[in-house]
Parts: sequence; C-alpha cells; structure tokens
Amino acid sequence: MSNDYWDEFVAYSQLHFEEGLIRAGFTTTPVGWSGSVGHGQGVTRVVITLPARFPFRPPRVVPEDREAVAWSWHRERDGALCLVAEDDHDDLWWTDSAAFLKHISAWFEEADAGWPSDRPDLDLERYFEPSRDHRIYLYDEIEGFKNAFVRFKPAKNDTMIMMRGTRVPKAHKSHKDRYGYVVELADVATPPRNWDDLETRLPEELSIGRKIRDRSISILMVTYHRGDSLGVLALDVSVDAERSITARVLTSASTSADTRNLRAGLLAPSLGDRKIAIVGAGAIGSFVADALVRSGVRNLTLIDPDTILPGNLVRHLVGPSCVGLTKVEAVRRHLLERNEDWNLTLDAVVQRLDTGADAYDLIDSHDLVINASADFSTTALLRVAAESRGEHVLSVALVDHGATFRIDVLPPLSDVDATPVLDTPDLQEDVAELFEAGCGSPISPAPPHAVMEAASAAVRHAIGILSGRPLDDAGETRNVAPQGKAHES
Amino acid sequence: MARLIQQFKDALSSIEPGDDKANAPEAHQLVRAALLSDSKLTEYGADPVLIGSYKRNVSIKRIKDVDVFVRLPEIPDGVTSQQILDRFFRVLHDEFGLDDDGHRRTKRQDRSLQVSFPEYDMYVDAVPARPHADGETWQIPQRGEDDKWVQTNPEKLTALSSEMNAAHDGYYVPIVKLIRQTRRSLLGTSKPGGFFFELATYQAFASGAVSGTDHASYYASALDEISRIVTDFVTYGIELPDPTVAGNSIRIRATDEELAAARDQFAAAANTAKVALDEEDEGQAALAFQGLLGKSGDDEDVFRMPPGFNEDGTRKASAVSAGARVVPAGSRTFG
Repeated sequence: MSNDYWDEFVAYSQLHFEEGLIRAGFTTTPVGWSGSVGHGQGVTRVVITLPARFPFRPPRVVPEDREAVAWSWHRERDGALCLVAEDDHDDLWWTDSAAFLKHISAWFEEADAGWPSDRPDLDLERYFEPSRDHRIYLYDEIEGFKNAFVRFKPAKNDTMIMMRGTRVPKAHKSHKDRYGYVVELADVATPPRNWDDLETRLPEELSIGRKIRDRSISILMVTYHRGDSLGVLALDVSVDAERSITARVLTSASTSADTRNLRAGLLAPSLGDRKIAIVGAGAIGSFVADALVRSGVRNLTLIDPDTILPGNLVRHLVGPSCVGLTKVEAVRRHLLERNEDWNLTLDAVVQRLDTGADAYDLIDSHDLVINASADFSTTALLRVAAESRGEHVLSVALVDHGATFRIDVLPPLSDVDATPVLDTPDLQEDVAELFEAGCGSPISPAPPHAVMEAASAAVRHAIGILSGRPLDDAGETRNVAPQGKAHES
Repeated sequence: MARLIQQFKDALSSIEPGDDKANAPEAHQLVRAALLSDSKLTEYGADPVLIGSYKRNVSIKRIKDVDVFVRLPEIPDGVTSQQILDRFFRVLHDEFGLDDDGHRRTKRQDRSLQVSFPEYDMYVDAVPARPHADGETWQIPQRGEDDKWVQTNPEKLTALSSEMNAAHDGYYVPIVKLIRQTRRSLLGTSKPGGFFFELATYQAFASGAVSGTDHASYYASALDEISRIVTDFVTYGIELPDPTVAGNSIRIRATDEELAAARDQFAAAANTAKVALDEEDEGQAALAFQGLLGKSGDDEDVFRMPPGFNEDGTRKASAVSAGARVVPAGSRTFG
C-alpha cells in the first residue's frame, strides 16, 4: 500500500464525515465542529473533534457546557463522552456521521434515563492524572486488607508487592518501601474525578486525609464494587506546601488466583477436577499438556520413556535447561515452575505404554487419555483397550511429513466412519529424509507451527469431550502446510 | 449538501496570482519612479497609487494588467487630457524605450498609457487623474475625447471591498475571486469582463441577499444573486450602480450576443451550483463545481476532485465506507 493510498483513505474518511456534520448543521470553530444533538425532549450543544488516528479511532465529543451534562461513568476525566467501547470497533461504523450523531443522541437518552442498563466497567483510573511512578503495584486478596495499613516492597521488573503493614514511625521507614492504606469506596454512582471529590465519599472515621497529611501513608488503595465485580484504584497521594492533597493514579494489578484465571476460558472452572493422561510428552504432547493446564486442567499424568535432546527443543515446549531430563520430567518441571500457584498434580511416568494392563489402568483412572505418541502400536493398543472398556481415547498426530494433522476419537463416539485420510498436499518442495546421529529412524520434517496447531486442535477436542460437547464424534483432519504454487508478487 | 471545504480552499489557492503578486509592485515602482522624475509632473503634485483588482486583492492568476492611478492634485485647470497623456507618454517612453524586438514599450490608450514589462509578461496602465470639484473624488480622461473627463473614485472601491469582506467574515474577497474565475471559465475573453462581475458581486452582497457558512454556500448564494443582477441588466436594462460615485452606473462595452451569453451562462451556473450544494454525493458535487470553475492559468482544473473519488466523480474502490469490512474479523476481537 503506498502512502498515497493511505493518505487518500484517511482524507476521504475525514471529508465524508465532515460533510455529514455540515448537513447536520455543525459549523467549524477553533476548537472543533460545533453543533446541536437532539435527545428526547432535550437538545445539547457539543463539540466534535477528529483524533489523529481517525478513521481508525472514533471522533471525540465534548459538551460545550461540560458541567451542564451529568457526570457519570460514561464520561472521560475531561468531560468527553465515552461513546465507543474498545470492543465496539467493528467496521469503523463511526465514519458515517449520521450513525455517529444518532449514537450521540442515544448516549444522551441513556444519560437522561440514568443509565438503566449500565455495564460495570472497572476503570476508575481514567478519572485521575497518572503518577510519575511507573512501577506496577501488585496486590493479592485485597479485601482481606480492608481498613488496614499495607506496605509495598520493591520487587523485580519494577514491581511493588503489597503485604500487610502497620503504621511505622517515620524514622523506621525503609526508604525503598512505600506505605499505604486500603479503604472501601461505597458511593460510586458517579466516578470521583479528583481528591476532594473522593475524600468526601470516604468513611470520615478513618481520617484518611490526616493519615496522608502526617505522611503515615503515601499510597491509598481504594476498593469499590460495580455489580458483582471488585475494582481497585491505587493512588499515589502527596501533600504540598499548602497542605493540600494531590492524588495520582498508579498502575496496579491483582495477583490473585481468580484474576490470573479470568482469561483461561469460559470452561476453565469445570476442568479443575478432571484428570487427564497424555501418552507421549514429545513435541505435540508437551504443548497439549501446557494448553490443558492454561485452560484449567490441574491433574495430569505424563507418560514417555524418552529424554530431551538439543534437537528436540525447537519443536518442544521446554527450553535448553531441560536437555538431559526425561521428557515427562522436563514438562512436569516446566509446568510447575510456570504455574506454581495452581496446585498442580503432575505424575511423570518414564516408560513406554506396552501392556494392555497398563492401558486399562490408564483409561480407568483418568477422565480422558490423549495419545500423542505418534506411534502406531501404542495407538492400536490404546484403541483396543478403550473399546474393551467401553471408553474413548483421543489420538493426535502429524502425518505426511507434518503437512497434515489428524485428531481421532478412538473408537468414534457414535456409529460414524473414521475421519477420512486427506490427500497429501502438493508441497512443491522435495522432501528429503532427515537423519540425526543416534536416531535410528528419519526425523519428521514437521515444522513447529504444525506441532502447535495439532496440539491446539487436540486440546479443543479434548475440552469438547470433557465438557460433554464433542466437536466431532470421529475427530478432525486438516492440511497445515503451505500448498500449491507460490504466488508471484 | 456538499460543502467540500478543503477543495474550495485548494481552488482558491490554485487561482492565486503567484509570481505576478511579487512582480506587480516591482513594475508599479518603476513606473512611479519614472513619473516622479519629471519636473512638470512633480509640479502637478504627481502621487501615483496602485488601484485595480490587484490592489483590492481580488485578482486571479494570471495578472496581466496592473493599474496605477496617478493623482495630480496641483494640475492647472487649463491642462487638457490630451496634453497630460502626451506628457505621460514622453516621460514613460524616455524611460522605458524599446523592447528586444524594437517595439515601443509605452503605448497610448484611450485614457491611459500602457507600459509593457516583457520580463514579467505584464503591463502597467498609468491613468492620470485630476481632482473633481467636489474635493473628494477624481476625474480621468474620457475615452475618445480630447478634453473630456469622467468622475471616478477607485480608492473608494478598495475601502468598500475591505468593509464588505469584514462584514462577511472574510468570505467576500474569496467569492469575488471565484466569481471572476467562473466568468473566465464560462465567458473566456468575451465581455463583460472581470470588473463588471466584481461590481455585480459587490452589488449582490450589498443587497443582503448573499449569505452562507462556508465557501460553497456563499458561492452558490452569490451566483444566484449575480445571475439575477445580470439578467436584470441584460434583459431589462436595469443599470448596475457604481458604488464609489453616487448616481453613477457601470458602463461596459459588450455586444448583445455577449450580454445574452453572459446572462444565460450565469443563470445555468447558478442552477448548477445550487444542485451541487444540495448533492450528498461529494464526487458528483465536486464534478459540478469543477465544471463551473474550469481551468486555471496553468491549464489545470481549479477545483480538484476530493480524496476517494475518480476524475469522473465516481467513488474509488479504495474509499472506506461505514460498515464496509476493512478488517475481516468479527466483533469482540482479541489478539
């Protein structure tokens, strides 16, 4: 794309938007486009400005009389209307000024009605100036510290870790630590926009202002609730020569287990008590294990007789420090280290799955067995064992030199045919067999991305089966290598 | 309702005189210095000043003529217009002589002396003027007469232009330029000339009938009223008053055919501008304005197509429209 193309794209968007504003009676002023927006029985004059990133960011709208419009969670600190949520950027819809003006009208109508269907955004930070302290203030289960002194100690990567503290005489304070207090803000019908506004809403008996002025604390952790959600505002509070308090917002984040599990997926809570075995802790098996733990599984059995060699690393989950460890131990250590707070139960079994008895045990003692061994005899053994037990195992492997992956539910969950074999894609490249010293058979040329894709698909099917919503009764197969002739560009 | 604000600004930039704007005062200074070097003219109190469209900032590319109004407040009553024009000729010819082709650079005209400046591709018209009996206005030689003078007050028009411009938030002067460019586009070298349309524009604004909020709306509004004035002038013989001298009206040399063409062309132009103003498709509106404003002195379209549109007014495939998929993704994306 040339710069001309870009410039024209942006210029047209601006022109078209502004022409629409003119049609709606807006006029240019030194501060932006000025005009009226009707809503219900009322009319409000607003100023619309286009941000530097327009049309990729929506226009900014500020009431001409900032105080005449009620303050709410739906306004920025400077009075601008919060019109477009981050998750509502689909299609750059605001480039149509008529639609945008209609949206402003709807905002005012919602405001007039008192925001009946408000969603509980937890972003009180927006209403305060940022502190010059750019460290990240980390806290755990903060509600246990309500109405208590806390202390932040410096930690690595410019973080500050919160712990219980007491009021400490100035002389004994460590100059590296910072001292604070946790207080609950009950009234958040409208967001406080400065210290004076906030102080009037804090419990008077806690004398927060006095604590700040006598320099007992320099950090105030303000907790608040919107709906069922807990919000935390970390403020850097200071006193100037006139004894006035200034509050600036610090970057803060929760280290609680709940917070760290928020992004694990909607089904994560239901996977915590499921027990899964992975046969084969090589490339695919290691990523399957990692993805399952990230998705909420806490109990894994890993079975593999092999050892990590340097050549394995490029397609394996673990790093160079694991060379020489068995694969199951390497994966176990990696997962424990990365997820130390999850109370993982990881059994590492250094052996090949060779007997029917072992296979029965494995199937009987786990909610699901995933076969990532890519070994025909192991796969056949597990299938027969599963069939004889009336159970199912999930098998995953890359085939055709890594050009295709297969996921097979063995036996299928219903009376359906097995997933058909895909035609071998036209790879264009000559596939020469690769050998490494010490390896008796050729090395698969499957690339790392194919490994991750196969593992990811296997986990998708596994979670489907575990949650009673299998994606396919027989499995899935897909080509994952670049195919066909190269495009000339 | 297309206003095409940036495109009108760009159109005005494209008809700005450019280099001529710097050359005009240079040429004026040379003529002025020549006239002031003559003892007789100095004795008459010679005081040349720039007038005309250049002085009023309503000239458009290219400036071919610069008018110098040579006030002679002390000229004796007995000096005829022929005598003073003769004197001007001698002084200017002595100073400027012949050009590279052996032609005299100074030429006598009906009421002025024209000095050519080949290096600037420009002429300076020096017009002698004597005080009118009213003590406020001036008189210049009457065309085709040895000693007849006509009343004029060119500096008043400069002041009136400035006042009108201020009264309309700076829109009057650019609209005069756009009207002059429209005249040039529609009528070419035919008469009436730019000065007639400048005064028609002034009359239109002075009537109170012209208004707007931007160049496009002012332009369309002015064209509508100017068309009415021109129709009155051509069809009904209603004179166009000279705003600088009470009771005077503007006289022009144009054939009946030229006048009829001017009337019809401006009536059509007014209608085109009105339709363009109401047009919601920016490309079609731009095409209409482009047709009215024609080519500049550089032979380029004065009014350019806005970004996102082809030269035929259709929208380019690359232009974004609300709701169009720029990113092939669903809502609530995550990365």
